[in-house]
Amino acid sequence: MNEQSLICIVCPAGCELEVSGDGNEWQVRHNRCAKGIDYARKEVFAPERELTSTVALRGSALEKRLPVRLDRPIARGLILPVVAVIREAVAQVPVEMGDLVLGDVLGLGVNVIASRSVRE
Amino acid sequence: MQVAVVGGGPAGMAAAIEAKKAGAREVILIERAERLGGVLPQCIHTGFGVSFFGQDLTGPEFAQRQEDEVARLGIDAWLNAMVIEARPDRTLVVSTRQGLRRLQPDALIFAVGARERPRGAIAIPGDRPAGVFSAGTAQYMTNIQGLQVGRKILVLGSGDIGMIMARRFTLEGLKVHAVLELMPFAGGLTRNVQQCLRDYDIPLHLSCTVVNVRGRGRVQEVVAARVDQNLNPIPATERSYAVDTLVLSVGLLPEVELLQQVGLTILPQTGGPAVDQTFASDIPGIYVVGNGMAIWDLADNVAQSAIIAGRAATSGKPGRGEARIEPGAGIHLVVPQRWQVEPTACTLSFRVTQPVLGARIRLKRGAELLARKSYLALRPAEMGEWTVPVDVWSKVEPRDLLTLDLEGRRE
Repeated sequence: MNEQSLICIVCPAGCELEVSGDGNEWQVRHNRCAKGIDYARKEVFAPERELTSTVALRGSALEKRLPVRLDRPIARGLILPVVAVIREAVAQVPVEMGDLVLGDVLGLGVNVIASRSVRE
Repeated sequence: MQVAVVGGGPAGMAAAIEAKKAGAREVILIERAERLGGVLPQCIHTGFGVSFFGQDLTGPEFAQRQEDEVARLGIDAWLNAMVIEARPDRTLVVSTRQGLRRLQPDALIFAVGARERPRGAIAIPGDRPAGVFSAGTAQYMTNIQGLQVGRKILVLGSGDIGMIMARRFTLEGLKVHAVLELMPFAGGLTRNVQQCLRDYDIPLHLSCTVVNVRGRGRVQEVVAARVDQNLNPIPATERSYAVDTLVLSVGLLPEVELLQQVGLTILPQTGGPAVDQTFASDIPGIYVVGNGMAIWDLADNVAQSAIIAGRAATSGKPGRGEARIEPGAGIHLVVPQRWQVEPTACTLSFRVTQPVLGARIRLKRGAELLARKSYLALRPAEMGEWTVPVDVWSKVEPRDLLTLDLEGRRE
């Protein structure tokens, strides 16, 4: 890598970072905070993303789908295979925000958890 | 003290919670939908709560936290309840499942939110087939109803919901051909350009618009063209997309019907009424917060505005007169538009008209410079914030006219 421009997605400020150098010695510019430096290192060498989706929900008169999220970010390249697993999941009422919906997806040590409570 | 809040989204819940915490005896939260949360339950993506809760949450999580707090504090939440009449003396007539109810609270907070700008507002020519959706409708169908909106999709408008839905459609196995944007810059947050479009190789075509929609029964073809500096389509630049769905993400407008009914004047800059630093409107005891007042970037912002109003509505002390604050050169809008003269710090929120690097924003009284602040970059899509210190405000007198303007260079 010689030079790369990135948009930092850590927060809504959306800094337009300039990353230059190689694996040993490299530099980040235009970051508003230190998080931008960590983000640039990860983004260049091992990009990660949050993932959210919905799953089918049984037993509720009002809600058909349950919004879910992963409990930590995963490698960007794993998003599509993980989404395919989540698509097949089914949750049952009652469910509380933070409840486990699917454990250890694809052996990655990452869990799918409920994003909201549906009590009836 | 009775406080009524109209609208149970992130702003309304935050206002109700704060009013109750500040000591209001009775707080009534009126929501026309069957659940609290406003648009948040369908916004399943993360990015909410970073400033308000200090944690990166999904929309449903943000709403759930507030909903649990509403229940814990004993706030009276009326669901399936719609205000059908609102008067300047704060009288509300509400249609509920138990019939019509009338109340006249000591303070009334409107947290009525926004609507999406519809197809008619942007005058897209062509046929009228099925398959044209606003981004929020497509989001509701996908995330709440679990329906598939189409197979091959074109998104017009690079607002946040449009970009987020482009990613969501892709993850659901649909093909997003492109996102088109009329302006020469993206309409939504910059981070969404990266994580919603670039991550999935979805092309973003700037300075483009839709010039024709064709289809009998269902959309079959959408024709786009490049636009010139005056945003008019350029002949012979047309490009055809063989899609079955057109999704419009062309902005939000404050939902002002009730606000107009009580007699508030709607400002052209914000599309909402003028407020002071506590989000009090021109009518005593009536406050307007969140996206019903002006379109904010984030749920965090609307909730923060509501907290200020929820507190002020409960204490309600009159000021010793007010100054006005108006947008000057390079500034599209500023909030608040009125300043109750008092020696406290105040955060001004503003939008620039164009992207600017190395911007300097000035607060002036006539030709007199009161304060100045520098920014690395400002964009129309991202609300600027400036906490103007107390020593500046202590110079301001009733009936002063202040302007906020931009001294800078274009990107």
